[in-house]
Amino acid sequence: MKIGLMGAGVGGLIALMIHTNGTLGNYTNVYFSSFVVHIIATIGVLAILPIVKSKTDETVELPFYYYCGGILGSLIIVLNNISFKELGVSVTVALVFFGQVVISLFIDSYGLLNMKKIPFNKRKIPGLLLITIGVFAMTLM
Amino acid sequence: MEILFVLAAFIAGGCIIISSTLNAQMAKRVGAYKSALINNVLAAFTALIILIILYGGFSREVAALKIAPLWSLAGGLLAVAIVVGSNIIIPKIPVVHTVLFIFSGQFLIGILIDAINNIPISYGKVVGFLCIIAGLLYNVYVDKAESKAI
Repeated sequence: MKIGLMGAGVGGLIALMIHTNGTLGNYTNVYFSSFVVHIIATIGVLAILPIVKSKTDETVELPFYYYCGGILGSLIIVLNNISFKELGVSVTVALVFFGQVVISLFIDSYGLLNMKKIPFNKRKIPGLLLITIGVFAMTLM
Repeated sequence: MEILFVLAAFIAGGCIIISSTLNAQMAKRVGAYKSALINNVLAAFTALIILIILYGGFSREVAALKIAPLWSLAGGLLAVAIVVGSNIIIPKIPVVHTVLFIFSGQFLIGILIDAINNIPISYGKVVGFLCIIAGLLYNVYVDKAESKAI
């Protein structure tokens, strides 16, 4: 449950960030806003890196593409922006969320990307249906 | 044609998860903070390339930075906390639960920000949110019951 609350906390920070980045994007443009935000974040991490300690494990072997998540991070903004202009905010947000749920279920079910494999359980179908109904209600009502 | 825009949003959602999972896995090897550093450096570089391709430069934007409120730059610091936090959470629980927990917090703070900015919240949003939370809690419960059975 502690992890769940932490997750919700991260979500709260994301909502704040969408607001601050959106504001910055209104003054400039979304890509410039993203660039500036990532530069500030880079400086921020560099500043705290000497102070913080984190667990590392040199024995973990990863192919090079595991280091490329950041590239995807910026490409997402382009995709988001494309659909946003055509579909509007709430539909885009709902579809992005839906994409997240589907892909994360896929990763869990097959244990992709080095994650623990959690085979799909049929008993979860009612929960997923509720989530789908929720996404539709948020978008259409 | 519209299906392409639908697909773009859906793929964006998938990419968010793939990107976060890759980062979290990298964090196992190099630590949550170094992983966040690599992530941000690459993201900044990619954003710069996109910016140059689409806008050809950014002199107007740099000038606009002076009139943008200082707090609008806070996203940089929030991004650090978000990436480090995700790096810690993702390896510990099923990815789909991470998605839903993050979504809940995002939604709640989102309506709070809307309320502060006088944007009304729709009935459907509240109903939809409650359905999503109910579905999430139900599935977390199924997982818990299942792991106890093993």
